[in-house]
Amino acid sequence: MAVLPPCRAVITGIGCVSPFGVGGSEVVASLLRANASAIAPIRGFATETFSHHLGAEVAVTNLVEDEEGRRWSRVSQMAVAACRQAVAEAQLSAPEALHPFGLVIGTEFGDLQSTEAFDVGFLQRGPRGLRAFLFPNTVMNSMAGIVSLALGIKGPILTLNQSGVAGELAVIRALALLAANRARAVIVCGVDELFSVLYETLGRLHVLSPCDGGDEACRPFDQRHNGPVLGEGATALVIETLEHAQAREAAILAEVYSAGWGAITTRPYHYPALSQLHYRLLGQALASAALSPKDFSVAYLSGSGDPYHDTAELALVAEAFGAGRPLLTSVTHLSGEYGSVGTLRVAAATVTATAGLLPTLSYLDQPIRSDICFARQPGAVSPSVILVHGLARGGMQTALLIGPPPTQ
Amino acid sequence: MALDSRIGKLDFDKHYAWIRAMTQEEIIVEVKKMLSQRLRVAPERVAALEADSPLLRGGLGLDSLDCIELLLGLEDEFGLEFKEDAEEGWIEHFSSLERISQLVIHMQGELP
Amino acid sequence: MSRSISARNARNVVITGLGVISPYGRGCDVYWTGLSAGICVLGPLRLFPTEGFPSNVGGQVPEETVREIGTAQRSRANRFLLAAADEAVGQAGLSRQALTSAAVSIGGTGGGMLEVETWHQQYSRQQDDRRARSALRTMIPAAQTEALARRFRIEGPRESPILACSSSAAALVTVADLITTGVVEVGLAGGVDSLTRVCFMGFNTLKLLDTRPCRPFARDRRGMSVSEGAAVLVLESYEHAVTRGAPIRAVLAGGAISSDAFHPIAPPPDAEGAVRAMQEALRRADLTPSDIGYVNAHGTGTVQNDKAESAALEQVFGPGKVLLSGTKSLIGHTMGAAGAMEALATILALEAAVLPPTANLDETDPDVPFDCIPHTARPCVLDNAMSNSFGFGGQNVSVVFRHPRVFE
Repeated sequence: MAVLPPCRAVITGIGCVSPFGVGGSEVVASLLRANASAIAPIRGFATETFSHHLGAEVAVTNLVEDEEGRRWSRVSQMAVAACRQAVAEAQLSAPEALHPFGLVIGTEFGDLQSTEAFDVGFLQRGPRGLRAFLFPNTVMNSMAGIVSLALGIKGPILTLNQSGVAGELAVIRALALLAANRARAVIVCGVDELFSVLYETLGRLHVLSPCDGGDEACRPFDQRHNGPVLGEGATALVIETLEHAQAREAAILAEVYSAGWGAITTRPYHYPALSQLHYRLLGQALASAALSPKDFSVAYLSGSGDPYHDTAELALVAEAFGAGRPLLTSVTHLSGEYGSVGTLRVAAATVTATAGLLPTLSYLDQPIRSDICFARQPGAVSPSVILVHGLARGGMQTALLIGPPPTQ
Repeated sequence: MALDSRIGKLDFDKHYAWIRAMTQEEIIVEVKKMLSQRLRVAPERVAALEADSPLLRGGLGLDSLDCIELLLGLEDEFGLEFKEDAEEGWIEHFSSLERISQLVIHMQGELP
Repeated sequence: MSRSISARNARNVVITGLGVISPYGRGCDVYWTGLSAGICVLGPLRLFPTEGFPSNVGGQVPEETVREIGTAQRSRANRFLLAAADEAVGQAGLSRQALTSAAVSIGGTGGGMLEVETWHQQYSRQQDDRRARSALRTMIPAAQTEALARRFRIEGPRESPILACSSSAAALVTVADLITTGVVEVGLAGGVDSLTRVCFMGFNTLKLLDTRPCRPFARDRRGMSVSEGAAVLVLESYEHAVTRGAPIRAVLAGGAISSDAFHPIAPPPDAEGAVRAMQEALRRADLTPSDIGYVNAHGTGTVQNDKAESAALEQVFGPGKVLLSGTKSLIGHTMGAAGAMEALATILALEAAVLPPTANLDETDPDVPFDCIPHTARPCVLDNAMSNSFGFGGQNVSVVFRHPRVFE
């Protein structure tokens, strides 16, 4: 476990391509206000023969102009559109403004859809069936290449692959780039899409709801939880040093106080068992920001509805904070679960830090722990420090501490 | 640029006999379909193309990746075979619909 | 002429362990023996059918090495990576405590795709079974990183950077940053890729593969040769290494990552992004171009890449001002592993005071104004060398290494 050195970093733009719409922080604010889940029967592909049918889909299709996006796959178009929204919100429209910026993309599956289509071409027709177009998309850095091209980003560029916390890792790597003075500002984007073959097969691997054969639903932290329901989306953030943001008089949405990450050793592809947990990361993250548990109003959790995930994460958070505070919340019941949803969590936390809005876990009738406060009733919080916590299959753990914009 | 040094020997079978009989206009129609299906060029832009409209930079804007895809399309649809060691500047053969059809016609004329 | 580093700079990054699996076989000794003898091990691939494709030439880890490594891990990529890591960690002699808090960053492009391709073939005929389907658990590159972390119970910061051909070079730079900024004392950085059908078919479809073993910088070069392998380097702070008496193999003096923002696969003719990466790497190493005696080139053997790279080297160093060789001429393009494998070759070259040659180079392209060390290795005592990786999608990484004598 480790935390980044102190580096005053701020968030100045949010961009979102989601089932709730395409836009900036107003899309995130309205999804928190409405608290309406986007999870519904999948319409983008047939699911009749599958054991599961629900998902949270992005319905918008014309994300970029035809001529520009002619060769771009859907997942790349989502990333470009989200990054453009974030950049517009951060008021960075001058030509070449983004040349020195860095770019970090976080993704779990990248453009797997193109890879599968490429291989299908071969399986159906041999070498003649292969499409040259598709091949560059078969490596996960293709979205970053296309975003950098579309936005003119020429600084350090990275794609980070990870299940569960790809979004958080992208944010943390962006902060690390700032700390190492490789850039003064970084565009971060978490992106993953729903894809029929993967959707079907993950279900057959019994990692999706209903993994107990019961009813299919997304109920993180509830006793009826029986697996995640998949979603998709792209959420982008503009993250800069405080100095850089102030120099260009940017409107600051939130400050990042501290970031830490590491892993808990566990069995392959599993969430840690309770006996395997250790509690170093959150302690280190709090200490590094000189904060104590009582300073926190809210914590966003990553629990997906997988029972092992939910149980382990609550144990980690309860141990770090004790009984009662902070209020625990999540976006997963609204957005569905995907590997890079973490940037949406950070975007939601940013809106909470500024406007006090937060999602309500209104489905949570039977929490798996009674000694913890969940945000089950609508209400606002006064802007304060927010923890965005992530725990992934395989034991990766992340902690981001976010707060209101610094006072002048 | 002489085409001969770059064009491999044709390998027609009966199934592709009809290609031999195609006129330039018919070839252009097929290539336009490739532009829209393989290269995803918008239908209205394809429809607006004349035989001599520039397809590369300054025109439709096709680049080398597009031209490889078109080349594969020609190999697949017309049964052509291009030598692997194409010279630099090979994409100029794709600079207009007229030039592409000339390439196909030239290879049509290469009877075993 | 080189200047010594201030020996008291505790945060210098040093290399204390090296491990590799290559088409020569298992381990650094076998790797160096092959490289220094200028043995090209490229030939017809035998891992999967290659009929119907213009080129069947590439590099493959020998079957006896694969058998020796064993089948304990589910995917070929996992096996390669763990074997390379075993060697590196064994050499470095790290304590359990040092490993627990180490960072780990492994780059890759294909992940466990080779095994997923087998599943996909069955799936396309509705014949997939549970065993084949389980290949999806090791599909994404992050699964290899997870396996490595679990092997050594590493719980520090973890990343899986995907930058196409520059993936593992980026891993080196980002782990070095974590050390210089004091986040960790130790890190494992490297990369792995096994041959995959998708990679082989894709480069064939783009007509980027030579039908003979690749010939970087040759007048008659005609493309790349795909290959596979893994390399892991142990990075430490100078202070940590000296305190525990670890053998220092090299200094990672500086590195940089830049983006071309030009085209999905082609480099810009002026190679502007590559120039920036090299210049920043030199700046961070506190060196000038004239301090560098040797560059281990990206050198894929394609007409365009080598031309652009030569133009970039000319801009940075001046024509003929640095010796150059292309490791890919000997072992092929190992994709995500290339950056780390070639960094390893650069370090071994500095250590041995012998520069590996460029194989298959009968006549250098007249537009490449450099001595590319054709055929035969060149004895040469040097303090400083550079290793470059310029990935698909315009993602450039440059790393500068120094011989540890610069500390004296």
